[in-house]
Amino acid sequence: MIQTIKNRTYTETKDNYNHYGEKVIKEGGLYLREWSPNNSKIAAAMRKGFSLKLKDNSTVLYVGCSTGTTLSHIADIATKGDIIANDVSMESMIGLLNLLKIKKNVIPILSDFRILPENKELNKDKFDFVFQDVSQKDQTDVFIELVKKFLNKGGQAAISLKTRSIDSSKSPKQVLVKESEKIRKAGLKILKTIDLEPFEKEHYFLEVSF
Amino acid sequence: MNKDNLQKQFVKDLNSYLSKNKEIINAVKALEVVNYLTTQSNSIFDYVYKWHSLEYPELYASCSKDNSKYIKTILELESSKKDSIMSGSIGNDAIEAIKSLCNLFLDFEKNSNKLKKIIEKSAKVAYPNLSTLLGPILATKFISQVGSLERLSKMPSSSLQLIGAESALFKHLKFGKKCPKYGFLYLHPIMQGLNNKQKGKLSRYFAGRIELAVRADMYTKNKISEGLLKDIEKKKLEIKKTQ
Repeated sequence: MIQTIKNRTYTETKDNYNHYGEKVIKEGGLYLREWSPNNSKIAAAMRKGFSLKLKDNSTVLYVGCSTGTTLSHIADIATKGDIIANDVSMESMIGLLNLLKIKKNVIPILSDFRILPENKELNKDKFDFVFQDVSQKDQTDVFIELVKKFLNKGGQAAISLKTRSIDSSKSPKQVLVKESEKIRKAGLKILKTIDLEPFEKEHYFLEVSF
Repeated sequence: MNKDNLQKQFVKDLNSYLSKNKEIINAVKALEVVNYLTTQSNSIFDYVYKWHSLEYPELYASCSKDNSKYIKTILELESSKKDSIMSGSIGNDAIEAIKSLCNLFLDFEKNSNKLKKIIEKSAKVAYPNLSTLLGPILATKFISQVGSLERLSKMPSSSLQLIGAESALFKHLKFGKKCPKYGFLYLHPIMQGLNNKQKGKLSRYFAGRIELAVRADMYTKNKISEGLLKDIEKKKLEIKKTQ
């Protein structure tokens, strides 16, 4: 569950833990962990009008989890469904290991995100929420493939575009136009385009569905 | 989705990654610390030198300007025995403080020597050809700049030639300044004794040979470094004849 108190966002959890130095408030039997838009792109997008439709039993595919800053909050909300967390870097995965002990429904995969669609174990699964946050040149192409293969009908998908790592010679808006055209040509709809300006520079957040 | 299989696969992936890349990770991390320690010990030396030369300004020249020898003689020096223009003293408290700084300097030096041994050991195992061509520390410098041995092996040799000269290269591309001819390769002893134009010629040839050595380390695991070194020395003689 997400709560907002005095213009600040919190996620409720039963576990008493602190993953990356965030503020924790005790309220009744529950703990509220602060979800700051400065640390997390989903929280920043929520400040600017994105609505997250996660339930406690929904399944999640999170590509580019790194040390699990945002992932820990998603694991607070989706407590029963399986959460797949993917990253290439082993060093950042070591930062994730503490979270794995607390949240048993988080399943890590250490691989390149480009070979995720061919993963044999994931083949027949569908997810309610697909999110990709990797700063790579071909991130949109792989995102389209992931959405087509893994998104449930009625599910939510989102991508954070880091325009500087896609093309540093063009302006961020030119990159956005080009990349969103790619998504539309692939037969997907763009529901929302959010500029993450005060929180992240030159980042765009796109909400996508069938 | 089979949860257990995925969990097992993850544990397997983590451990196999570590066992494969153990040597390279150790060498790169140790090199980072060595760089840190050398900058720190240099600045400590600077403070010691400026402070202690108020007491005994001739000492550094009499140690033949060798930093660690200078530090060691300060530790052994008795304040009554000195032949200097400065007849006064900065006082016992100050000298004690300087001596404890000297101990810190020697500590840093000892640690960085230990780390250099680790680098040499692991470089010989992980990339033997590259480390005989460049020396273990310079070879590790190349790898830590690029990120991994695999990425270095997939580079064209013309990019490898300019590793370490990125800012000069982008100044050339953006503003039309002079193009750099060498980066970290300049640090290799074989580049000495040539003028700038000759260095540029040799570094192009050298980069090509290094690329061969890296690919041998990455894929075939043959030992080809000695032949390559002979090639480079021959080329150096040829280049020296031409002006």
